[in-house]
Amino acid sequence: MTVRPTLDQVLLLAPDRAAATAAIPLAMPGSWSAAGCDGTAVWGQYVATTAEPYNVAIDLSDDIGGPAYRCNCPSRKIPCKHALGLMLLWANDGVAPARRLPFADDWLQRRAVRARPDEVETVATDSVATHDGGAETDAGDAALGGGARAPREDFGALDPTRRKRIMERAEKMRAGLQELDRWLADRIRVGLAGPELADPATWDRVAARLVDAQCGGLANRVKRVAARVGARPSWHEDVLEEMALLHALAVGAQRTSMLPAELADGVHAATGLTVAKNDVLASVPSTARWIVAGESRTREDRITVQRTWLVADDSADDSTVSSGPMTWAMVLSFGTFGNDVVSEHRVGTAFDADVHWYPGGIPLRALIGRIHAEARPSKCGPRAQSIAAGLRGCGWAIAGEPWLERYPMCVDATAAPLGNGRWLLVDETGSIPIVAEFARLAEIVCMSGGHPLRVMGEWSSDGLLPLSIFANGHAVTL
Amino acid sequence: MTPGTPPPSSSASLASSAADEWAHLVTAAVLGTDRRPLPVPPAGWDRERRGDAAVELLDRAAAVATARRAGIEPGPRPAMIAPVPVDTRPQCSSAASSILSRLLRGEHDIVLAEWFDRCAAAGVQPPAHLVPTLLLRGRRFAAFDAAVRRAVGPRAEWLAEAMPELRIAAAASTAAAGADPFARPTQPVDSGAVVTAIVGAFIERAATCRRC
Repeated sequence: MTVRPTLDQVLLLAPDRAAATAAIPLAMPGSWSAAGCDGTAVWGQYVATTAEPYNVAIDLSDDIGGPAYRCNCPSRKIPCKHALGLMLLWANDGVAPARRLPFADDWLQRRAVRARPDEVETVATDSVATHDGGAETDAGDAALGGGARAPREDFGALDPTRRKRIMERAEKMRAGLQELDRWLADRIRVGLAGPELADPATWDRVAARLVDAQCGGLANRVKRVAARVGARPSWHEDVLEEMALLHALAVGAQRTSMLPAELADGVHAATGLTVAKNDVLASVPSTARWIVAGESRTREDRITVQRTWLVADDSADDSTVSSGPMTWAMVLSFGTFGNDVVSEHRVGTAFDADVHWYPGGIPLRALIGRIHAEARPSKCGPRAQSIAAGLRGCGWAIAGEPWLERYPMCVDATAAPLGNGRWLLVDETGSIPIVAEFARLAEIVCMSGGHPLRVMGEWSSDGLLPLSIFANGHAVTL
Repeated sequence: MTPGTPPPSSSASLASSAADEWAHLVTAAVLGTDRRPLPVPPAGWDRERRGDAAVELLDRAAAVATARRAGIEPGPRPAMIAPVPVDTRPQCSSAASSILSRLLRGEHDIVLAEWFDRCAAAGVQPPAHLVPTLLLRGRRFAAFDAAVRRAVGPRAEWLAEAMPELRIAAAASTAAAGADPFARPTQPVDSGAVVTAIVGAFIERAATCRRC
């Protein structure tokens, strides 16, 4: 069931301002005949001005890629003003549930059939780029990488138009990556103190070019780097670090055939090429009892990305093993139109399940396959490591995927003040800072009260973002 | 490769050369390679030279940045603050805790008083993670603040001292002794008249609707 968007959210879907402006007067019930909707689609016939009605249908079943549109008007804009007008009418509660019109039903069923055999997730690590079709993605990656790794589909056997599209996509990405790399080098030539970096429009242009080049993952990353300019006194170091990693990704993505297979997969995921869900689920699973250790959310354009952190419960193993490294899995879920994601797993519960990792430099992002035993409250939550061991785990992950932006850890530590309102978590192996903008600091400090506390959080270059606390046998999410 | 593999033994010398190399690269990047030639990399960080100085800087920076990020170690232990004095009362149950957090979100907050009565009767502590919210709420209502501090015990004073920026230090009590700590703020004098007028208008409208 799709959640109805607000009017603002619909207008954000417009390809340009003109289309949005033209759509508003069309959102009148009188302009439409037989408009209806159900859980996954909206349709109607636009009858106001034309002799022949325009048949408009909108498919809302793809929560991640966004809506798909069909309209037989001559406009080449997607969505056209008619589709937008119908969406606005629907958003304004002007479309009632009804049986599908034949043309809408035809089109929706054809789409559903096409989507099923190679169901693909169009959102990479954090990207919001939309592509169509899973096979293109896989074969496109082979074309981009020089074809050294076995493509999942026989490239030669594809029909010529499809092959042409794959080659075009690979060429587009290559051009986008080269352009990004040239831009990075130009900035270094002129110097980071140059005025161009401080202008957000500069970064927006670069990000927009990357979206055009279908490198959505990198576009989002570029926007995050832009936010670091001027943010701290030592921002030059932060920005140089990020630019250097972008450079490594841009160079690496053009030469994936020369990289080890896992690293190549990691580079692909970071640039925006994705792996089909079914391929991930076909991989060898890790079966374990998984404890839901924490949850974090970030906004990316119109999408809310939720990370659910699972950790394998190895407390049943003999005690020597359970002081070693922890096995983490990150499950992503997405909310469109700015709606919150519904949490499927409650922090502090545990369940027996198969987990399948996405291919990459390190096992991290994962899908949950078969669930063997239903979730029930976990008695003591995840086990903790020392701060030094937690950081070693993060270091190991960064060594496997240098562009990694966050990695989880769970420690028993005491909150201690650093001054200027900043706080640290401290144990006998040393200290780590809590991120500066953390909103729930008082809760952690108060719960700690100068004593050790079990804290699970995400480590990033800004410090630890605490996500949950395990105390007295229950979990508190922050 | 497994997490937690210990670093190689020469890590100390590599760490100091990484810091040097990083400092050089940052200086050159800030000024621009057009104006500032790149220094020769220190031992352990030398690599294939590229023709373009800017590209070479990015290559070298990517290597050092990764090493710095992956090789991060815990910071020094700071001076610790004195821990909160021992409170022997047990924690309240998780059911009671989730009721309190719902009340604090504004659901039926009229029964907050009852929650604190029962908490006191059972001799348990309110959940520590809700204490900041309770104290921040008390900043506006002195009588409520006094009741919260009685229930929370020594942790309230401790938190006020540990985080002065919260401005939750106990104020000299302005509430009259015996005042109801959970009473709503007094209403303006004429509010009764306003309510009567609104209700009257509503009844009148409802009657009109029924007629037509």
